[in-house]
Amino acid sequence: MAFIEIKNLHVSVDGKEILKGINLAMNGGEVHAIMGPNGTGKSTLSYVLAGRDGYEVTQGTVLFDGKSLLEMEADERARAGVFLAFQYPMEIPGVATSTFLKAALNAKRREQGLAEIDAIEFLNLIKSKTKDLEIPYEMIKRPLNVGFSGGEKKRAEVLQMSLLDPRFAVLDETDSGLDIDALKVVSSGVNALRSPDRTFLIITHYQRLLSYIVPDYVHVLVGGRIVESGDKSLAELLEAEGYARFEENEAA
Amino acid sequence: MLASKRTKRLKAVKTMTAGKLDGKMAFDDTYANAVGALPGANESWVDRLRQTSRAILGAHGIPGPKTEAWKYTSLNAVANTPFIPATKVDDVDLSSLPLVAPFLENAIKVVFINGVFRRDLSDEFDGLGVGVAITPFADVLNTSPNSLKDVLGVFMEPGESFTAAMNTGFMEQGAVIHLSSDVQLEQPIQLISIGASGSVPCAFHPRFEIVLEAGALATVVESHFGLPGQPYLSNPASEILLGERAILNHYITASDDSDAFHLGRTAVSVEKNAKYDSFILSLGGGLVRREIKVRLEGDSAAATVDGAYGLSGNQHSDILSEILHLAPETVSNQMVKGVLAGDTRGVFQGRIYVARDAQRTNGRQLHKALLLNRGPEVDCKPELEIYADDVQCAHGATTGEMDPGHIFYLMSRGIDETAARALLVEGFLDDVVLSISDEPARKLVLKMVKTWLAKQEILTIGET
Ligand SMILES: Nc1ncnc2c1ncn2[C@@H]1O[C@H](COP(=O)(O)OP(=O)(O)OP(=O)(O)O)[C@@H](O)[C@H]1O
Ligand SMILES: [Mg+2]
Repeated sequence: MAFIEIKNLHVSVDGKEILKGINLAMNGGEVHAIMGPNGTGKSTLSYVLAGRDGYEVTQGTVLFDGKSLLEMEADERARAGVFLAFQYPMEIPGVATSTFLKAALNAKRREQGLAEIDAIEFLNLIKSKTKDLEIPYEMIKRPLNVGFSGGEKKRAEVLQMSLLDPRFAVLDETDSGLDIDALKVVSSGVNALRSPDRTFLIITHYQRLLSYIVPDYVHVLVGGRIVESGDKSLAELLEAEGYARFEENEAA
Repeated sequence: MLASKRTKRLKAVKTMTAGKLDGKMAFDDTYANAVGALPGANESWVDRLRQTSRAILGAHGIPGPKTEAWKYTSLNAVANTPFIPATKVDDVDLSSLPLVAPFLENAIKVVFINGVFRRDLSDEFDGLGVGVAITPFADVLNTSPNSLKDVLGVFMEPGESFTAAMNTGFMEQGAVIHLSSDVQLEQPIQLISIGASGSVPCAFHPRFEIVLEAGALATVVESHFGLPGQPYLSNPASEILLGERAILNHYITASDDSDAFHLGRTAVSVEKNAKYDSFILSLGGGLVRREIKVRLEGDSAAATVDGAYGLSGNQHSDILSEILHLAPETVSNQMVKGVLAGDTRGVFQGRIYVARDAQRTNGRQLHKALLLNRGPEVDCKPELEIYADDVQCAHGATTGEMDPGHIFYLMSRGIDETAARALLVEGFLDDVVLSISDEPARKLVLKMVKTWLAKQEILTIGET
């Protein structure tokens, strides 16, 4: 059985069906990319996997390491190793980034039966991670995402991912808003995390990201369904041709 | 010279008599008789001040809902409690005090129990240096009342505020803080007022007079709290005069016992280029009413009047704020945030007044309330009254529940729902607390918010 198995997943929002039968199996260590036009349900899929309220699963199952993911609360999923890098990370006034990071890290450690992280150890950990991702250390003293630039928010998401060490990471348009240099930094951050027991689902509009983080599989999501899957060359094809071909099929 | 200044100022403040009050009586003759003779009683203007205030109380009684300023806050419970003057309370057990006291590190502490100054519990505050004087209020009234002529009763307006009238009618002890020109006091002063009723409910009316001469600088923290037991009524009043270029950081924390009543008022006059920087934290008490009136009297005078409150159980909190821009280029900033749980009620009445001459004035006011369930009620009445034409004034108010998106964001990182809510509530309040400019005071307030949250069961209630 695959590490993550999405079977015939149908999801509605406010009575409107957005996902219309997604099937996707991902093994440990694989990197899958999803591409597709705006509004076809990519973020919806990411939220359903992360456990956000307001998405009604009308059919289908998701197995994560053999367990039914959809029956778990968002926080349980996270502690079990699911991570979502948000397309639009939220600004949380008054909550210092460092306070938040520590709370998240300790929640995970408690689950693993570990003691809370020691203050110095935490500081050193954050220092080295922020350095790797070229994030100014001062930023973690600021309220979470408040006033962060678009690119800073995306880097902060990757920082959180690297800190929480997930087994299944969904990256929703983490490349959008990043400048050319930042894209390289963030990509090498992600590549550094690639390992046989970590699976990535990378949502993007641009082939450029996938030339840095080379995926094992590329899927095309149109109209709430995966209409084609292939290897990295599919991304190059899409970059050249766009989605017209699939959308015609969809309309037909 | 002094007298004319007082008269001039009094005229400027133009004490108005309150409108029609539909009051009941408390603090009647029985209470007044029990209070007896008070310090400064043989100084005629001090005596007159008290008598006038008592006459106002006598004529109007305790205000009811027909009085605009008390529309949202009922004083029935206060009227129906037979308080005795706190000086008559038997000695109270203070053994649990260190556990509950929000002490400010490093401050000069001046302690009052039931309004009575306790030198034994206070820090030494004689000889703080040239130009710095902290003196017990009663001592000043007894020995040199005329030194207060410029300020005492000038800004408090007993005719306009029941809270002020009650304090002024019965003021007895308290503190006078005076800084001479250009004296900068680094060490903060903490005025600590502790309520603790004996076997009967008691009331006390501490009076703080703070005068900073031109160019002086000080930080004063007022902390009001109490010990569990019979309800008490804490009725403090602070009257503040800031000379040109003076800067006062004035932070009030009110975390009284849950059965207690707290009716407090701050009246401030800010002269040219001076700055009044303030914060009110209100977390305790059954009924808390904080009034503040700031008069920006001189060109470019500035005031920050921020605050935060947290309510649970059946608590009721009422903040009444008036900021008067009376001179050109004056600036005021106000952000008040409240968190409400249980069956509570929060009231914010904020008025910004801009006089015709106060051109190029800048006034900002914002009240934000966060409701943690469907029980609480928020009443917010902002008022802008502008007579100048070249001004920038903005006000706003929001009342809302916690953003489910924010809760999800935190939970998606493994933080459980209760902890996520706690972080968000704390963040909501900290957002304004972090603007406290004085670091030790900021830390104290942050800690008090955290402690308050840790005690509340409010955070789990919102779960479906
Ligand atoms: N809460 C909601 N209420 C109504 N419609 C919604 C809601 N959330 C999503 N939708 C709709 O679902 C569809 C899919 O949205 P989704 O965000 O998943 O698209 P996407 O593929 O991520 O698009 P993009 O590439 O622009 O990020 C859109 O038509 C969107 O308007
Ligand atoms: Mg999207």
